[in-house]
Amino acid sequence: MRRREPDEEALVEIFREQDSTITDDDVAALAAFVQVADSRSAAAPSAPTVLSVVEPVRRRPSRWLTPVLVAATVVLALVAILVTTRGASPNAATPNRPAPSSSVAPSSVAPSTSATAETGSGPVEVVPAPIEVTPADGAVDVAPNAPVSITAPSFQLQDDVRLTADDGTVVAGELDPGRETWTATGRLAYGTTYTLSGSAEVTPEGPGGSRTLVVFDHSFSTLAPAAVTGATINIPEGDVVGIAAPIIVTFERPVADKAAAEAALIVTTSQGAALQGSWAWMQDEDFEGTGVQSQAHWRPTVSPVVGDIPYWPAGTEVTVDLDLVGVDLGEGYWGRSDEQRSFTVRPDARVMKADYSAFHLIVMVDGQVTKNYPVSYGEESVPGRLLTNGVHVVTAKYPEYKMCHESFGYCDDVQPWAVRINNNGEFIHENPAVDSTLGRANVTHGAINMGSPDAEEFYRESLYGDPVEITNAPGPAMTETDALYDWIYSPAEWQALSALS
Amino acid sequence: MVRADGVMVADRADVGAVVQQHGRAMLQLGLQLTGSRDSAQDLVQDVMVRLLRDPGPPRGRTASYYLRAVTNAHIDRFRVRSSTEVVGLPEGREAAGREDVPQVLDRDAIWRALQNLPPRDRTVLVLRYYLDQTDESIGQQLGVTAATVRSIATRARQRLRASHSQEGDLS
Repeated sequence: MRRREPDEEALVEIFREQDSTITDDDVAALAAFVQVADSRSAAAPSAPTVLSVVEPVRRRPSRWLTPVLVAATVVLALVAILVTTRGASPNAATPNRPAPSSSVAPSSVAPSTSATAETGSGPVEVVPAPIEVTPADGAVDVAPNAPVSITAPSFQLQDDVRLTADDGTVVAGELDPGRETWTATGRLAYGTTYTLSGSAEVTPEGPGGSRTLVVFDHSFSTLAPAAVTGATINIPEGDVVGIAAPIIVTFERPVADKAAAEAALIVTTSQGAALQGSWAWMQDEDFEGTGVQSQAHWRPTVSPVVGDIPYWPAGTEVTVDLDLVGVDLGEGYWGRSDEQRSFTVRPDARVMKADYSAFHLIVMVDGQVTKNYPVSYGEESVPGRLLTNGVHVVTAKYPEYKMCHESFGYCDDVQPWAVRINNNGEFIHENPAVDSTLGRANVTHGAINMGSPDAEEFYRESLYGDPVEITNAPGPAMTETDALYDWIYSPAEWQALSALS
Repeated sequence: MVRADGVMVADRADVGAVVQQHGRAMLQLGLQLTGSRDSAQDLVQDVMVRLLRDPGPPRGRTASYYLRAVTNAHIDRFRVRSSTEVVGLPEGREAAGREDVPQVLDRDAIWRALQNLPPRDRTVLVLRYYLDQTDESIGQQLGVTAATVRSIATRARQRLRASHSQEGDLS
């Protein structure tokens, strides 16, 4: 420790000497003050309690009480208030009030600028006041997604209203413009005791009116679930996706109460009411090789986009909220955590038109043809080499991908610039071996083959969610065995897959 | 905390026990910060009202927690959110006036001079020489850097020395 100068040593000693200025009387005065302030706990141990401080009364003190007492008949909680009048002013005492109590702090205390510190001596009376609090004071096993609010009719809630977790975390909330209701806007956690504290004030009607401050302190605790389970969103944060991109939410396990889960999955877009969509539940299956899971997809059903298919409008900003905390998913499982993702639909509306009979793949951007690639589709004469008809969606792309097609006896066939459009081997990829047939014949094993450098360019411009509309293929239409098959449904059929419909 | 009827409730601060254990130290700190018994009582009562409503995290309720609460309440009272820029002194100037300091200091005069310091300057001295806190810790509470704390302390000590010698001249 650094050496102290003589004047610093003197300060240390001066401060130490001054300690003895505080006497037992000072400590006793503080104890007496605290006893009065805390007596609310003894008076009403289970009810929410309030401490009220009234400024000097210059007219009938009960005037403000009448409407309050009437209002009290309709509220959930009747609260005892401790009312004291400040004794600091010589005019404060009124004949109909008892003499100042001697058990409170000395009257020499300087007036404070803080309302909560108006704690001088004065008479005490207990009156009821209306405080409506949700959840009720002392409530247990509250679901964390339950609304939290406090309403103090005819009072003005102060800025000190706080919802605080037992670990000190403060939950956000807001006052209504009239300052009568405070509502939590933040999210609660499981297994936590919350304290809703603060104060409310009655505004005096005119000059010299009595000002009453009500201090409240409620608590409740949230449930601690035996088991929790979570879900993931397929689109990364900040990603840019194609105009046919479904939002895919995959749960870790089968969801028993799909309606409850779906109600917690919120999609918000920059298009407002012009763009509507809904969640559809896929059949429960083992999507990720980790056991049976539930999966829900969201896609637009009503869109301002011109055309038969309600794709995402280009440039739409999308936010997905999974508000799963506090959601009872059934069979004893509750949602583990909230998730949020924001992404953007690509600014250029890019659609691939793959006409099987034309040996070409046409790229349309914003309704205009921008590319016309010569390609080779699956060989028509060979069963199993056929592409399926319908709206395919780019699901993944790989600079190199090992193609396997066991029934044709090859594997480890490394193909560059592969863009996956289905789960059954349907890719768009480069294949120099078929260069001579591109644009003239369909010879592939169920993929769309492109030449160089077209395949690399197509690869670089493709995004998850780009639609590839395959038509005139001699093969079957897409079915639920394909992926992603979200666009085989009409809007009405899609909406019927919602658990809330 | 679980109530007798099995209901889980928030753990209320037993403010009576807080007064028993920490009341005197809190009042003493209040005295150092404000300069008078009455102001100290007022300040600590204010803290107690706050504690009744927000007892703070149970594990954090130590002596230093309550002293910090008194300090914060005091800072809240004098803090003005305008830019009160402190003109810092270059480091190393602290010892410059050392020869001017009389070897025997009139403690009552210094205590009186402390009353005339700006609240923040006085707070820095109290935290530094009464609570023996580091400049970093003091800076955190006041929202300034440790270097600013050092320059405030240096300036405040110079003022004390100046007022002391002035008083000495007059007497």
